[in-house]
Amino acid sequence: MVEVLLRRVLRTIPVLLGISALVFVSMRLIPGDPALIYAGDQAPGELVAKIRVDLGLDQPLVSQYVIFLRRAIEGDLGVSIRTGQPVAAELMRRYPLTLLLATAAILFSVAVGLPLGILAAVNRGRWLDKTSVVIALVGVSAPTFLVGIVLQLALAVKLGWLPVTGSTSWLHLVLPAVSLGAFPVANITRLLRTSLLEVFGEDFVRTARAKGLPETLVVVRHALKPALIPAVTIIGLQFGAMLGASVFAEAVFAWPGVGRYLVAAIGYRDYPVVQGAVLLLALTYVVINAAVDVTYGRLDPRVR
Amino acid sequence: MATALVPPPQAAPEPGRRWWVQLRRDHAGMTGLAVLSLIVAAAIVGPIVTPDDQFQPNLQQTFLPPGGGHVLGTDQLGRDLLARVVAGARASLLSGLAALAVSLAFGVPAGLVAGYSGGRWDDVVMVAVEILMSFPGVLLAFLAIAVLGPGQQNVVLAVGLASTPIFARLVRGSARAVREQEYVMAAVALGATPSRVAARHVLPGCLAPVVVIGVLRLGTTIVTIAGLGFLGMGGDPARPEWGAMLSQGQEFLRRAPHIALVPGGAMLLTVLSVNLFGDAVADALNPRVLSRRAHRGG
Amino acid sequence: MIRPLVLCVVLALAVALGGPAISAPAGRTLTWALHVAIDRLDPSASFALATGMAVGRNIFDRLVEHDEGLNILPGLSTQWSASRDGRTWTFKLRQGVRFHDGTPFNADAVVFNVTRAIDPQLRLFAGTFAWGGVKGARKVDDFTVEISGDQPLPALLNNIADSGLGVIQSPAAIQRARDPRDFVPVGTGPFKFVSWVPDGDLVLEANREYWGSPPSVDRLVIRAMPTVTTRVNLLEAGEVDLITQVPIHEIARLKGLRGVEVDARAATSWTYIAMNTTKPQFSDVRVRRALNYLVDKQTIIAKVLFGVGRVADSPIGSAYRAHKSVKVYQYDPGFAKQLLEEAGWRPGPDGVRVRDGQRLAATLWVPVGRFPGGAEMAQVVASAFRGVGVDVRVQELEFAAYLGELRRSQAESRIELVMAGWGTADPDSGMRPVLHSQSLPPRGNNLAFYRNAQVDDLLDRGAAAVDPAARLQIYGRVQEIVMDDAPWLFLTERREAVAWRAHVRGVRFIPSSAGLIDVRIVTTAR
Repeated sequence: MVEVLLRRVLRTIPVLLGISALVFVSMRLIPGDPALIYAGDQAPGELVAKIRVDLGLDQPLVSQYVIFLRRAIEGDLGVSIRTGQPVAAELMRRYPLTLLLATAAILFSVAVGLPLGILAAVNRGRWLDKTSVVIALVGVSAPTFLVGIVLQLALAVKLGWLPVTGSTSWLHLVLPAVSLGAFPVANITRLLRTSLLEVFGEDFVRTARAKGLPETLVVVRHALKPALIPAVTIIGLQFGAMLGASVFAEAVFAWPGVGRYLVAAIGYRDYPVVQGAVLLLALTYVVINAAVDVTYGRLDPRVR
Repeated sequence: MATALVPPPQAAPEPGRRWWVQLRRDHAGMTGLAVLSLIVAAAIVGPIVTPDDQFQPNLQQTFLPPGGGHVLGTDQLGRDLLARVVAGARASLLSGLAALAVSLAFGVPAGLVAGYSGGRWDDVVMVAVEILMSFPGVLLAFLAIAVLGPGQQNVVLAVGLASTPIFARLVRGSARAVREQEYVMAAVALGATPSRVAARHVLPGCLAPVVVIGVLRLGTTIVTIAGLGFLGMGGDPARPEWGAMLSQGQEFLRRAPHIALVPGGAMLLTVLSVNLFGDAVADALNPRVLSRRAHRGG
Repeated sequence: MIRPLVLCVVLALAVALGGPAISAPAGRTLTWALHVAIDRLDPSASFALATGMAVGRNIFDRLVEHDEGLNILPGLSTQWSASRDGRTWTFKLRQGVRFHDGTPFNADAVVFNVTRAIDPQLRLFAGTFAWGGVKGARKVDDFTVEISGDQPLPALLNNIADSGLGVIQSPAAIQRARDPRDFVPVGTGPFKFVSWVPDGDLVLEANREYWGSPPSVDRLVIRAMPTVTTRVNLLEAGEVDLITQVPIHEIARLKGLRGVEVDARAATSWTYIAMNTTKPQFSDVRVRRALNYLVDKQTIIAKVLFGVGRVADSPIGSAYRAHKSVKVYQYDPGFAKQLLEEAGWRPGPDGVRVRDGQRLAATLWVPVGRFPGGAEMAQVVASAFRGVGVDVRVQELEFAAYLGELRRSQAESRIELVMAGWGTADPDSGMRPVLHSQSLPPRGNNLAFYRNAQVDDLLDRGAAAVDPAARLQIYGRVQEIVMDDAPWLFLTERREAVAWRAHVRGVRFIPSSAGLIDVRIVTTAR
């Protein structure tokens, strides 16, 4: 176990280095000059050239990268080209909000996906099975932004039940979380259904049934726990996916998280912000993946 | 972007016999297949049948609601939505398939190498997988478009690359289990070269989960491509592709909801069908899942 | 295993939601959803004109101000005059005015601000934009300042009044902020700064000691809201009181709602398509004129822009005082074909016109999201062109990529047809950067690579002409020549729409650079 953990940690370092290098290089490959974008289309050419120098953009790439790495280790992620604000502080302000959104979304998915999955497995082959699956699949069959916009229109504007945007209260979290949480529902439902069906075929379940135990008891007490094991890993992975997908919900509902910040920064070629945000998200992914792998290893008796 | 199921790392046992019989009994799956076939047929036949100037702007006919001369209405430039959504079927399905092909082309060999060879190769591939998976898909898409230029091909490439790690991990897991099987060991003992063993003996054992996940992934890919269109990926704004139509149409959701809802509905229907069929195939191929009869009998 | 997880989640939620809560303010608050995020609090240092609009117009004043007709009004200066050679302006300053931090407004403050703006080390955009051509400011006495340059400065008043960049800031406040991050905006304007969350809310409170009429709202909250549909939804739901840049297709619907008012005003800016006159397809003026006859501006404005626009009858927008209605290229495909034939462009085997082996084909670039209805306009134009054998493909470009392409020099430029816009407060800055041969990219924005010696000469004279009547005449002539020479496909002038809830009063709309309508909250009543 320790060896596995150690290997994971050791692997993290090259991964993070790889990501930072990849982001660094590719951002600079994208056509588009941050000094130019910062200056806008009305600034004269000489001014733009001066800005480039001030931003240190005329230095050779390698030295720019080294400077970036050195500062990053100290916790200094640089300063946004567009606003002059320190990137680390900005990210720390937004990161909890994205985490919050992803968490709320995954809670919603689980709250919907779990019962649907159980319903489907228990009623296998009958219409309740198919209906549950179809309901679950809707979330993954339409893009998040469309779900968000339609929900916003229906529930916030037309019906006025919920606020349109903002991040100051519990109510503000509902629509973005539901929009974002719609797509993992499908995978959770499907996986739980399949997993439960597999468990139903196990001997111990057959035994329980043969004993004449009521079906609900069979399901809940005996079948559910082992069936949940692979579901846990899926939930972990979907949480990671949601960090990336959060940008769509953040855009529609003006949720001030990292996703929105990152996308805007890409548009502005705001290198420090993109580098910092990607590193942060990547670190989160890596941690989540490691946690999922380790948890799965501990939970699944077959792997041991 | 959604990650698909990651089955436990062990050999996929042989599917039960007559899995296709069980598949046929799955009504939802069959419905999905039927709808899908219709859509594919429309995608192939449609653009041939509808004349090309359906895509010319006609400013006298803008924002017509469904009904009358235009069954599904017209869009903001007066173009017939039925014709456009049918033409879009071809573009969207092809894009989804292409992205999938990219993922498989890179992911399967990588996973095979990692799973079969183990050791350092395994580490290398898995680090690459983790790097790709940690990369926000949004950024990957932006980079592809920005570096290579705007256009559908590059969105497809980006989305394909983003899904590669999933297949790599999948195949790696399966390969690791399959290589312990007796028939593989026998082949090695008989003196077959590693690459031959990998290709002829290990690979087939890994394919079942790949097929299942691949089919399921197709739906996600189509949806993701549309989502990227929302973020402004450029290209020819006139192209009848569902994602583009959706992202342009969502502006007019209040005024003329059908402009967004028609391609949105088409996408929903298509992806739903793909998923239903894919699920049915997954169920049928999975021997550990009781057949319906056994389940009911209990 | 579940329990600690739940605990963590609850804690995280509590922390995150406890933080950003804004306490309900006492008194009346006006909430304004701005269409873009403010990038920084110092308008002199910002390149984003939205900062000038939100921050510059409401926290600060300028020496002179614009009204809705672009007339010059007294601001922090009560009287002004120019020397005979036009190189020196003398401003008499308003007395008894204090900055928000209590320091007095006087000639020293003005000199400080001007000197800072034009300091080449600081590279402030305000220096070139608002104080362009100014070389120095001199204190004559406590309330008189002389501002001068090496060349005549006829455009100075317009430039200072435009877009919140020519602001006068408190010198004490600027000196206090050693680090740009500590900067607090201190001005003389109707609102004082309270707080700012980047990409979030800018909170201002009323300045009860304002030298002009104080606002009758106690707080002004300016919220960044770039997502269009969300902005509209917020207004409809009553969560904000005012929004800028209303999407054109929503204007009619919003007007019909009870409790909502909409106004679409002429800005000084216009949208056009530049033709690269150095490319063989577009070097012949007959071709350029012919193509102009293929653009059905009336129908485009009616159907694509929902009537929110005005057919271009001049290269510049009609809000300019110097605007002259020259001519309109009426939609006439028959005449266009005739002109093309006369110019020697005959249809080839595939229907596309050719001359001397050169096909009349081009790519039309449109920046994503920059021009309302831009992609649709481009498609309509391309389709009309294809109908007479001119092969045009539309390509949308991401804005950053678009900017990059626009800055390439002639040798490297890949521009064939490109949609662009322009608009400022003064005809000199309105025409010289886009039409003068000295303004070719990357120095300027002459995207058509247009060279006309007569136009150059007139523009030079206009930049030096002090007499307003002479200026009008000179610029009128420029407009005539350019319309005839047709380096552009003339499309429409821009209208900017603002929408507000009916209880809001006293919002002033000021046409300003780049098509923005600046919103100055003067008085509101609930």
